[in-house]
Amino acid sequence: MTDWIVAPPFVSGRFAKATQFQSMLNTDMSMAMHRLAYKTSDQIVNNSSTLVDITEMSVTVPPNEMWYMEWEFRYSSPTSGDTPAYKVNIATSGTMRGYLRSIYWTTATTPLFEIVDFRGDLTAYTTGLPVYIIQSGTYSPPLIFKGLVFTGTSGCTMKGQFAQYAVTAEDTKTRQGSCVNGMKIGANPYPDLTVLT
Amino acid sequence: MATWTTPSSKTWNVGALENAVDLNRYHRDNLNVSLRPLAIKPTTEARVSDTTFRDDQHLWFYLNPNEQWYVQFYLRWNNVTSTTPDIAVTFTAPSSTTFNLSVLDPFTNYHIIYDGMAGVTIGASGIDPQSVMSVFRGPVIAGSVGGRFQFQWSQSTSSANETQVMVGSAIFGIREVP
Repeated sequence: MTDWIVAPPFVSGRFAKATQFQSMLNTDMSMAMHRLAYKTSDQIVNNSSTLVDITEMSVTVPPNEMWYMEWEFRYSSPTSGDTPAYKVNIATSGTMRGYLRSIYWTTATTPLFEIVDFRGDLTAYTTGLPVYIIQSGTYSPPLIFKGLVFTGTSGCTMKGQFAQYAVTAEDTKTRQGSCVNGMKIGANPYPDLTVLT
Repeated sequence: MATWTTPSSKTWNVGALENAVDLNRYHRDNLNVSLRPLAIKPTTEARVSDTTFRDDQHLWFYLNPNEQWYVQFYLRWNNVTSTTPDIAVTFTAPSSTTFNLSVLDPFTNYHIIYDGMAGVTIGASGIDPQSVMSVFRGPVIAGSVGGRFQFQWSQSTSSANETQVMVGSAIFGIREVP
């Protein structure tokens, strides 16, 4: 990864220069935050605490790379209050490690910073992170995980999952507009990553 | 929505003609999928003794029909001297648009959710804010009608002191669905 440099300006009518494309656009948009996944429709879980994959919320990361990512889950539930009605999980397969930070609610009114440490299979949160519903019936505050992801020699796939935390015969939804955005920072700087599975 | 995959490395050649395959693979639909500025406020705008929502002069972007955007809106605002500082904000959009923007109130730490056209006051705690940054984020989904997605604001409590939306406020976005 090289330091940011200001690229030379484009000149109308001139053939594009290789150096210009490389420095301004790179070969894979690695210098820009861009769309990795986007949910185009609501998804419902009803009367179930079993985590299911969130369709369209999946990201495949190539081997030996380091990424900055923002996972943004938007959700709603008819039930609000002190009993969590939603749980979310980011399941992974392949060799990777990551550090993602989120804010969630420890009670219906108290936000808490939480650091989620990924080690390949996200063992700490395989049962899902309980999230309190602040507003019933409509959207709740987004659940946003921000941080770094490193992949090993086989790369990895990350999948968003959700379920009801407290089982209820009501619709809990992951909403349209949930998304994953990110940018590749460079090569994985941790060569020992592959021992972490 | 297809899963993002990083394309193999490419070396650009001087004078080579670009084609759709290269542009779509390496520049991703002419950078439409990247976070980029949609509106940046070049000068500070002030309201005095005014509680009527009015368009911000600069902070809007155009929605084409059926587009879906992810937006991050950095609102830098200030109530210069008042001890009852506040700003009331809302958004207007084409009739078939749905959106869901959330912002963290700087004084209560509660998220405020905008999922309609109703205005909401932020920062009405009586604390004097000097240049507050409020960040709105979320999806903006157009229906069959295009038009402006427009930021509006006013004072919530009328005051002879200026409420300002300051230079540098900006809307960034990713066009998620063309």
